[in-house]
Amino acid sequence: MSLNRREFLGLLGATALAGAFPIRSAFAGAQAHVVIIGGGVGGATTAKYLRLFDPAIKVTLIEKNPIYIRPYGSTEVLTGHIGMEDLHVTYDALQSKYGVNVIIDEVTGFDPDKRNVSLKGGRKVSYDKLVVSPGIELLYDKLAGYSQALAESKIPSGWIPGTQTQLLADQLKALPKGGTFLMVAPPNPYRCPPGPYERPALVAEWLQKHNPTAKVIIADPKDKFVTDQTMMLGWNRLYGFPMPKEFLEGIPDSVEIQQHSQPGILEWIPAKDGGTPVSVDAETMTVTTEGGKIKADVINIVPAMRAGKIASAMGLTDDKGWCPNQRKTFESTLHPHVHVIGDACHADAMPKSGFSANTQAKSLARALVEILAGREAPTPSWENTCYALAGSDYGLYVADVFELAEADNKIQRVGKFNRYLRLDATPAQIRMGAVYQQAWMKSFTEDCFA
Amino acid sequence: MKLKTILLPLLLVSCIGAVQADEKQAVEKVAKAVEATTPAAESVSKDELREMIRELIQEEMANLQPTSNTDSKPVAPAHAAKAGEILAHTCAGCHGTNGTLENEAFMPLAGMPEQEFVKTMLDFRDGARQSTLMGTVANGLSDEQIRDMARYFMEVSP
Repeated sequence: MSLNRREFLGLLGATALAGAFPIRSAFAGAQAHVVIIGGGVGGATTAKYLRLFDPAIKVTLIEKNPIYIRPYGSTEVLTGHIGMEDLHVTYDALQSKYGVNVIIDEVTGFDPDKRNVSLKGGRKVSYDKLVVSPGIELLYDKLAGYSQALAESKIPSGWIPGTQTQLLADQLKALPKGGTFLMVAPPNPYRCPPGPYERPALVAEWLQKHNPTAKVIIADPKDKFVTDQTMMLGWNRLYGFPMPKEFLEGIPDSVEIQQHSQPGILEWIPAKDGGTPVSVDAETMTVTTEGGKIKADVINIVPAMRAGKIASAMGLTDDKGWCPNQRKTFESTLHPHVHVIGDACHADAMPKSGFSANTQAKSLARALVEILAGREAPTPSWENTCYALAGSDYGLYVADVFELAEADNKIQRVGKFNRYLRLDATPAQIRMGAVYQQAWMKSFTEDCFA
Repeated sequence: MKLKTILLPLLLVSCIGAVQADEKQAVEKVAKAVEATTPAAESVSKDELREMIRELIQEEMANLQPTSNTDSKPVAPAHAAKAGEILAHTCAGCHGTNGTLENEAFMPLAGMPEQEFVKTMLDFRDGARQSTLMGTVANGLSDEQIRDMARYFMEVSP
C-alpha cells in the first residue's frame, strides 16, 4: 500500500466515513493508538487500565520527567517521616508489565485537525484519541511580592513536590527556638482539599517534640474547608486549638472538647478574621493580610492555581483556567478526540485530588475502549477518598461516591449522608484512619503505576 | 494500479460495513468518499470505480477472514464492561487493582465469596458493622450495585 495508516486516517477524517464506521473496526487488525500527555496519577492510571482492558490498543505516554515525584503524602518529607526519594515513582512497570510506550519528552506542538503532537526532541506522534492529564500550574504572581524565583529560594510553596519541598524541610529544621511557621492557604479551587491544613498540623506535631515554644499560624482566604470540623477536633485534642463557636454545631454532647484558655501551638485565621493574604515581603519575612501583618521565620505559601501549562498552550482551558469537557467521557468541548482528566478538568462536585484523577482515568479508559470498538461509552461511576492526618496517629477523611446527573450533565454526589469521620469516632477508629492513610500511600501508588 | 493502492485501505472500512450492512450501500459510501477526496478517482467512470471497489471488497474479505483468528492478539474488539466492573475499579485505589494487593491494611476483595461481600457492605451501610470510611462508601451504593460488584470480585482469581 502506498498510503500509510496515518495518511489514511487523514483521508478518512476528511470524509463522512469517519462517523459512519467504527474507527477501530475500520483497520481490522491494525491497532488504535491512544496518546496520553502527562505521567501523573491521571495519565499513568489511564495508560495502565487501557492496556488491562484491551491489550490490542497501542498506548503511548508522554511525560517530561523520567521520575514522577508524588505530591500526595509529600508533607511527610517536612517532618522527616519519609525522605524525598520515598516520593519517587518510576514508569518501569507501565512499560514492562503493561507494554505502555513511555516517551520522556516535552510536547511543543499540537495539530488537532491532523491529530498529532510534536515533541521537543523533534518527533511527531499521531493519535486516534488524545488524553491530557496535566495537573496544575501554580500562579505565584497572583500574590503581590511572590514569584516562582522566591519560591525556589526563600519562601517555598512545595505544592508541586521537588526542590521546594526539600527547602521547606531544611527551613523547618532550622526554625529558631520559639519561632513562627506561617502557612498561607490557597483560595478555591485547589489541589488536595485537606492538604493545606494537614501540613500545619504535622508541622505542629513535629515542633511539639523539637521546638515546643514555636508557633504555627494558618492565614486563610476562606472561612471553611473540606474536613474542617473533624480536622479542628484533632487540632483541639493535639495542639490546644480552641474550637471556634461556629464549628461546635452538630457535635454530640458525648464528645469531649478540650477547653483551652491559652492559645495553643496552632492558630487558624479565617477570612472573616482578616486571614486573606494581600502581599508578602521577603526582606522582612512578613505577610500582610487583610487583618494586619504577620512576621514569621518560615513562610509556606500555597498560591492560587489553574490547569497545567500544557493545557492552556493546547487551547484546552476556559477563562477560569480549567478545562471544559463532556463529563461522561471527559472529552474536551474545545477540541474533539481530546480528553482531559484530573486536577485540570472541570468536574463539578469531584475534588481536585489524586483519588479523583484515578477513578476518572478508569472511567475514561473504559469509555475509550468502548468508543474505539464502536460501542457507546458506558455509564461512568467515580469515587473519591481524601485521607488526611491531624497527627501521625490521628487519621480523618472525606469520602464520596459520584454519578453523572443526566439532566444537567454534571457530576454529583450520590446521596446525602455523612462524608467525614464521625464526630463521635472512637480512639480506635481515629487510629485506624491513620493506619489506612499510610497503607493507602502504597496501595494507591501501585494501582496507578504498578 | 495506483488507484487500487489508494483504495485498499478504504476497503477495509467497507469490509466491515459489508458484513454488517448491505454491501451495495457500503460500496456506495466508499465510492463517494473516494470521489470526494481522491483526484485519481476522476480517471475512471463512476460505474468502473464502483465495480473496482466491489471486487476489492471481496478480495480483501477473502484475505481477511482466514487470518483473523490466527493472530495471537485479539483482533475483535475487547469485551464490553461487565456489570459491576466499572464500580469495582473505584475500590482499587485502596484495595488494589482488581481487588488484589500485597498490603495487610486493606481487605483483599479478589475471589471473595459473593454473599460475604454483600453482607459486609450491607452491614457497613446500615451501621451494623463499625468502620472508618466504608460506611460512607457503602451509603453511596444501591443493593443492585453491591450485588454486581460482589459477582465481579468473586470471579477474579486472588
